[in-house]
Amino acid sequence: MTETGHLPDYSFFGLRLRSPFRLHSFPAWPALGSDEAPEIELYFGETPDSLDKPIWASPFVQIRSDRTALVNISSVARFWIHGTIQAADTTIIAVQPTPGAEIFEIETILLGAVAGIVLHLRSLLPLHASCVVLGGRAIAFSGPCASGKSALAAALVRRGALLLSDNLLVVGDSGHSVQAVVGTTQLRLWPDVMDRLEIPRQQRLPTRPGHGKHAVAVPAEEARAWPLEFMVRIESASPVDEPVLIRRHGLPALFPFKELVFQREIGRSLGNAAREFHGLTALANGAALFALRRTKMINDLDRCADVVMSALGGGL
Amino acid sequence: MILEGKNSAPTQGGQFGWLVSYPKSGNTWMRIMLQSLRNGGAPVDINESIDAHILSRQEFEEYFGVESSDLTVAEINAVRPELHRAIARASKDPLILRKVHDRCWLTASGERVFPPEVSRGAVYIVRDPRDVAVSFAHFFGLDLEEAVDSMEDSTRAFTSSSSRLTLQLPQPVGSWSKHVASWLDDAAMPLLLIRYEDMLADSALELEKVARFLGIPAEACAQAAAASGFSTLREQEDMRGFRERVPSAARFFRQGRSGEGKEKLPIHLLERIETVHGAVMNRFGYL
Repeated sequence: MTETGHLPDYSFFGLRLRSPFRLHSFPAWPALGSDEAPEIELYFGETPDSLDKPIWASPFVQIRSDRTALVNISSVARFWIHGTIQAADTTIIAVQPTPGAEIFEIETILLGAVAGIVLHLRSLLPLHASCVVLGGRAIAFSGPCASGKSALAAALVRRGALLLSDNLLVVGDSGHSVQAVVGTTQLRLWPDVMDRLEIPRQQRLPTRPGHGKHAVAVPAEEARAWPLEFMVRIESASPVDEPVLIRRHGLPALFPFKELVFQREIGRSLGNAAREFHGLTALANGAALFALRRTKMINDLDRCADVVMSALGGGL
Repeated sequence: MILEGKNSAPTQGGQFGWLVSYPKSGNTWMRIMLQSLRNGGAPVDINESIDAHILSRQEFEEYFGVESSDLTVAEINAVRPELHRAIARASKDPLILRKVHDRCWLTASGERVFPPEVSRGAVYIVRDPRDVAVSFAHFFGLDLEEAVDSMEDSTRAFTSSSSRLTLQLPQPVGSWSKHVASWLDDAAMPLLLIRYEDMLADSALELEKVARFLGIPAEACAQAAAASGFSTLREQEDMRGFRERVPSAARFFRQGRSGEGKEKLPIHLLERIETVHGAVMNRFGYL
């Protein structure tokens, strides 16, 4: 599976990642500073079947107190995430593919469960959110699973926004503002959304064989980070006839944290609770917070995009 | 007539109280009455979070640390029993109420999806399938023939579409008869049978049976039933809508009465239901 020839390093949510195979979800690492060592190294190799004495465990994930982790999707691959003695600041991800697994499946899991764990292990704050830059302003969309974060980002990209990250967003506090870090260059969408947005079939790339969710490359932001101006929590299945944007204030506007922070329990098991609280407090103070109340119908997607464009689009 | 499952005594050990029904059989009404009861008989705002929700993708991801939408339906189904156990382990609540539309099913490896060891018991609400058919058609935006077809489909599953992402995990439902029989004959846990028609006749009495079965203090059953009357719920939906209404339905709380199937269904569909589901209908005095 290892590709020969030159492969670029990638920006993995702001971290430099080196991979033995081509990745399609992440922007290339900027050519400037190319002599820096990668912060994350991916390689194909053997992994343990399981980890002893995990402090957090599920059928798919094990986390140990020594900050190693194993992600096991048995039909795709095992990912063993650990550090090195030689380079304490380097995170190593060993990938042991399951025979027959496709590279794009490995990237799918890398982009989801593995990415979240790596970011928590590196004491960053990953949010379960999609983010676009619209009219020069970064707008993030949070909300529970299936609330329409990626779909709304896609609808806005179709209206001229640039994608900053899909589904997983790293935010940091620069001291002056909350920074949203550039993440992915693809949106992951389901057929109902792709059909509604008239995304041609040849642009729909598989994420798993026979799976409904597809990856779609879209115009993406190239800067490494962007001040996060607006944080919009999508409240789907609301008893409303039309989507409505409501201004919210303070930390409670970010509740429930378990929906906002990606793999929150894993982060807390790694001792990141205080850092999480600091980051969310900075977010609540540094970004203008909103709730977008919408129905559970895809039919209101365009109207949701209109509402966001009109209120937050900066005249775009 | 009140019928009870063959094994109706509640256990002491498990935390889950499963509120089970085929769709459009009174499950949400019972959930609201139970929520009111647990709040001393106070009225329930139907647009606030109602206890006893269906298992969601959000919970799957919280407990398992992976994106459910990155997994296949088979991969999700294989770990459903463990998800229930994980929720039970993490909860300090001695009673976890959950709404269920799944039939009682096993994973591909033969494991029970609703593990008896974490189950206090199941309350199964059954409704005359002729009335279910009319309500089902309204709810899902089907014509009556399509609704009757769906109720015969042994492979029917909810929220398992590969064309869109759903809030809930995939739920194998099966045909109406298969659904009822799967729970009543093979739940492997204590089970209380409640008829929707008896809820209509005396909701406080049926609520009290459920409360006692689940170990919930039952003193405020009369107040809870009065505060959660069908007309009250309809009025709330008229005024402010209902977040659990699906896009295909004009409203969630519609008629809430029995006998509508005999009035609205054409003869050939009545005969089909009575033929296909007759054996199970007979068990509840519906024929």
